[in-house]
Formats: sequence, structure tokens, C-alpha cells
Amino acid sequence: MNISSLSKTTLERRLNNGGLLFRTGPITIRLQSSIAAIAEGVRLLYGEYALVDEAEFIDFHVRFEPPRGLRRWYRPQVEFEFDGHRPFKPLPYNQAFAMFEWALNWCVANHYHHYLIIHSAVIEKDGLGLIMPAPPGSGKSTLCAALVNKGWRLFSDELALISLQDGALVPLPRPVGLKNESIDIIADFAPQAVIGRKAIDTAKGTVAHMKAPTTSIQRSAELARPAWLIFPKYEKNIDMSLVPHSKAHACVYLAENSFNYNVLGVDGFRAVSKVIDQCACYDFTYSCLDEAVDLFDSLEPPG
Amino acid sequence: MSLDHPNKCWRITPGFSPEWREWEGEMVVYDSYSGDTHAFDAVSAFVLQTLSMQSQDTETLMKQVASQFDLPPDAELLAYLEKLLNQLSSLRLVIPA
Repeated sequence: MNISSLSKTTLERRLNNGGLLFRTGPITIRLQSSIAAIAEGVRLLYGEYALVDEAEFIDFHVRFEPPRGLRRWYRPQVEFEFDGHRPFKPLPYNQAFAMFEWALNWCVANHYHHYLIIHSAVIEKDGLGLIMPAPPGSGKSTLCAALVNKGWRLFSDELALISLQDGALVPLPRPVGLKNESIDIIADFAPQAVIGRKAIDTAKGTVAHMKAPTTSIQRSAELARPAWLIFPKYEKNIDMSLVPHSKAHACVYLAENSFNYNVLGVDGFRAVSKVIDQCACYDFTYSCLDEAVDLFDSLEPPG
Repeated sequence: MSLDHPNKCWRITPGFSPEWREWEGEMVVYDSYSGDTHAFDAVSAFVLQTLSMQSQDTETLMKQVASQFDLPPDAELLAYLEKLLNQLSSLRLVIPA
């Protein structure tokens, strides 16, 4: 049964009481919140995710509520609680759903050490995975959102989960975070995309989340073999280019942009090495999403 | 001008426990002692691997590098190796013996 099978009232009751239990990729979550924006965001963007039975093991127990105190009357806020702890300062109330997404990323990145986790978008086609690590502002999430609306399968726009055994990529298809101009760019590029309510004046500017495509959610148990490692960079009015990137430097970059490389020790290095062994590595510069999609569709699997 | 004496002897930092990978002629080493990962060119990797087997002075090391990579064993190569050894030292991978 999916979240969308619940009536609005039942969903809100679960969120308000024992929690909404659901699965995304390999991860199970118990979400509790009385905040309407979170219920609205879950209904809009998480409707196709499977509900989880009370008897199942839950990886992350998260709660989002307004903090107590007088401030709640004149400057309402939202606070994140994780296993009874409050690791972050509260955020403005209108950022509640964005905080849920960021907090869930934090939970996975800092606690899910069954996998090597790298800050990167991951997409897939024909069983072959494409990893896109890049710093903020490089256009990674925008490109990822465009590609998954044009036939690529979404694994994640933020967290690459890599098997320690064989270097396989593990899907974690959750909503794609879009910032500032990217929100309207994707709304124009893919009118069928479902985009949630905008949160303004966040630390990242205006943010909104795009629903993961249905097939990406339905196929979230299907892993992929890494085939391409591409460092994207958006630049206005630049000619598109795809040039080889040193594998040795790609290896060091992945190590430096992993959330748990140091936790995993040599197993992390071996997992990164397996990825590099299997991938063709490139730097990619683009200014036009249509051209980028055409180029990605024409990528040849590495020999 | 050279900063170090060519007879200065170098060794691998005690505890250095490398795991190597090579891609397209470039080497990456994972040091399980420090948890650090470094990318090196072929000469740097050769120097580290040579010192892993035995301590060497800079001049002897220079002759081995010259032989391995078919380079002239001259002052320019010696100066390059002195600079390289100091860089490896700043990464705490080698120390004076």
C-alpha cells in the first residue's frame, strides 16, 4: 500500500500521532509532525512511496514541530528532532518541508554506513549508472531534474549510495531539490513535473522540491552498475563540451566528497576504486538543457 | 639552488600502510594509517614505493629514478627530487632517516 491510499485525514492523524511509516529506497522512516506544510508536501511528493508495517525495523525516527516558548506566537519556527535529539537550530516555519528534506539527507549521510555515501546526483539508463558529483551552484540538480524528466531514472539528486561489496549504485529516489531560477527553468522544461510549494529566504535562497518520477520510485529496488562519472558545470552562453577527466583525481575527489569515507577506512577506498575502475570520467560544461539531454542520451558505455 | 644535501637520507613514515591503485599512468595511494588518499604521478609513486622497501639518500634515489624513467641523472632532476621529497614530507608520508 502506498501513502496515496490514505485519506488526507488518516495521513494527518498518523503524522500527528504514532507517525507515518514509509520506505524510500532501502531506507525506512517514521515521520511525525503536526505541521500542515509537511502533510501537504508528503501528500504531493511522497504519495507513491510504500507504507511500512509497524513490525518492520525503522531506520530513522524523525519529528518536526514548532518549538515551545513565547516565540511561537510572534515568529513561528520548526524544529527537527531525531531519535529524541535536536541536532540543529530551528528554522522559520515556512521552511518546514525543506527542513524535512534536508534533515533526511543528514540522517542518511551521517548514519547509513552500510554504503559508501558521496555527495552527488545519480541517474540510470539501461542498467548503467551515471554519477554527477559537483559543488553547489554547478547546476547538478537542475541537470539531474531535466534528465529524469527525459527518460533517465532517478537514483538521487544529492546522495550516491555505493555498495561496499561490488561498487553497485543503490537508488534512493526522493524529491529533487531545486533552487532559485532552477525552479522555473524545470517547470518550463518539463511541464509534467510536479513541484511543491516554494520556501523563500532559506539559507539557499528560494527552494522547492520536484517529485521523483513514478517509474524511479517503482523501480527503487533495481541497482545499477556505475558507468560514467561526470563533473557538470553550468555556464551561461558557453559551448557545450565533454572532456576526459583524470581517473586518479576523480578518485581523490570522490574520497573528499564522501560523507563517510573516513568512517569506512580502507573499505571506502576500495569501494571508490571499484567505481573508478568501471567509469569513464569527464568534465562537462553546458548552457542548454536540451543539448545536454541529447549528449547524455548518446553516451557510449565504457569498453 | 638545492636546499638539502644530496646525501640526506629519507625513509617512509613509520606506520605508513599504503594501498595502491593505478589508472592511466597515474597512481592513487590510500594510507590506512592516516586515512588520507593522495593522487601521484608516476615519479612520485616510484619514489614512495622505493622508499617503502628501503631508506635511500636523495642522490641514490635520483639515480634510480633516472634509470627507471630514462632521464639524465643531473642537477635538475636532483633539485626536482628534493622538492618532491619535501612535499611528501609535508604530507607526512616520508621523513628524514
